[in-house]
Amino acid sequence: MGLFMQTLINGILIGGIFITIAVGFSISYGVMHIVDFAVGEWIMLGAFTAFWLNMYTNVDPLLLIPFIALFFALIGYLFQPVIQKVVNIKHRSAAMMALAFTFGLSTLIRGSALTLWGFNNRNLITVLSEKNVDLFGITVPAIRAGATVFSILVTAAFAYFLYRTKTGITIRAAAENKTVAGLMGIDGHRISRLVYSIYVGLTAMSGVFIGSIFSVFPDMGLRYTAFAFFVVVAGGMGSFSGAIVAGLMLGLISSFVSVYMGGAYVFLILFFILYLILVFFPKGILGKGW
Amino acid sequence: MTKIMEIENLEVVYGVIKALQGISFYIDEGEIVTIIGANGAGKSSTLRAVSGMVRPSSGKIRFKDKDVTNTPSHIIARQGLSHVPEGRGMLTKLTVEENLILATYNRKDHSQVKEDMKNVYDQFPRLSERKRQAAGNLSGGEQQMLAIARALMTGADTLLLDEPSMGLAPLIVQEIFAVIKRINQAGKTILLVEQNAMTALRTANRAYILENGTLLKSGKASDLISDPEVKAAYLGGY
Ligand SMILES: Nc1ncnc2c1ncn2[C@@H]1O[C@H](COP(=O)(O)OP(=O)(O)OP(=O)(O)O)[C@@H](O)[C@H]1O
Ligand SMILES: [Mg+2]
Repeated sequence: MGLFMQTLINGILIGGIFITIAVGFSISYGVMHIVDFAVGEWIMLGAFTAFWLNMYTNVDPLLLIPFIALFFALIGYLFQPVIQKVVNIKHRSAAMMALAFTFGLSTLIRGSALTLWGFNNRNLITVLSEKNVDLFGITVPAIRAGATVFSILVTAAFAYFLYRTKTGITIRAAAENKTVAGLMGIDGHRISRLVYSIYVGLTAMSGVFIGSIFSVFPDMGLRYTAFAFFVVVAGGMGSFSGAIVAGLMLGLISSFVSVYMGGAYVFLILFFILYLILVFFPKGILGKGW
Repeated sequence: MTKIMEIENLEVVYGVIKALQGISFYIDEGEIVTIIGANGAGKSSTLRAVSGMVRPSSGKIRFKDKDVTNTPSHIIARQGLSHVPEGRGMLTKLTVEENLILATYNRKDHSQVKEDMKNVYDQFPRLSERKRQAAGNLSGGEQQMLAIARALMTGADTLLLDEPSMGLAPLIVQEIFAVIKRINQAGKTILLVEQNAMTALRTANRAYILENGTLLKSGKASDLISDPEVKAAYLGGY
């Protein structure tokens, strides 16, 4: 019973962090219709940025988070037009080209990181590391609890932005139909750029949490690329609530499979479940995708 | 009268299909002008070219004394032209109110926006009752009302309406055309594209007949109604 509760709570906590990544990835996909294979690399780069900044400035990685989120949002903002250019190429399978492009980008970033920083695992030490908190009688690492609470707050703020502000309305409009949004005076390219920027910022921020919960290494992003796909496909392409449910599911599945079957089985089980979802709920768990 | 829009030798090509083979027309400020034509005549292509949804392969489009040929649609929209596309262009996942708010995104005249919103809800009470409903759940007639209301909320002075009667019951069609007349009387210039030729000719000041991408005839709507050729081809012989 103790182990079960421990696994359940760990699953929920890590799911809370996945939710932030999932939501950003899903909305960015919803607006741009581009699957960003580099999602895991933004996580890795966020974690490494925190690691090196912490090394040279001694500022706690958790305090660096606002800076890292903004810095990567800026990178996303500057980089998005490059992806857009690939999609706009007059080519029969422009979407395929974009996919190949982000895949290549991901490989390039990961390869460069390996060359620069080697295979070593590095630890990201924060004020919350080595501390524990008591949750419903279960002891959990404070960093996990703190990261989850913070992620959920950020996701809630993002939801508020999307559903309660004028700019949020333009984003949802562009996600549904860019042509019609254009007739309303909305510049679809500007919206895509904004959304990609938010997504890269959120993902790099989550990278800091993931790096401080586990460890920091050039390959760390790989599994999250697979996770992001799970979330988007299972949650329904571009659905906000679907991404939340799928993020949480992902946390629970990976936690339970790791504990009761072994870490090596996580992907096997995950993609088997994904297969079942696609067969029985092709529009995602909540039926909200397209 | 001042010309608010002038189109010269407009040509639209999709791959190998020539949808418009060089048409010219104009609209005076405050007019209702209608373009009528059968399926595939090129009516929607005309509106799409004017509002920047498709790039014309040649020709000139002037709007309010500015050359807007090849201007992207979001820029044209900000110059006071609003296109209600074929099929109404609903953003089905947004609520009725969000659809209307979206239309005001680029407006800076905030007090006027408030007033327009109130006017729109007064004019379309059914939209007011369904403010928080997803636009996708509205009936066809309500969606058409919302599409027109949304065009008004952009603050545009010129509206392009693509077959507003499409798929609607006769009673609702009457209602829609009454709305079109009313907003025209309130000062909006309207370019109306229709297959429902009789109703369109009764509503408009002037009309153009479009056939296979070329303009066949033009003139005062009241004259065209009694034109024998038009009668035979478009008004079912009445
Ligand atoms: N996106 C497109 N790709 C290829 N051909 C098109 C496209 N849109 C329109 N066409 C073709 O261009 C011609 C004119 O089409 P258009 O939609 O302008 O006609 P329309 O007068 O609006 O017809 P309807 O009354 O059926 O709406 C048609 O032959 C049509 O098949
Ligand atoms: Mg048409």
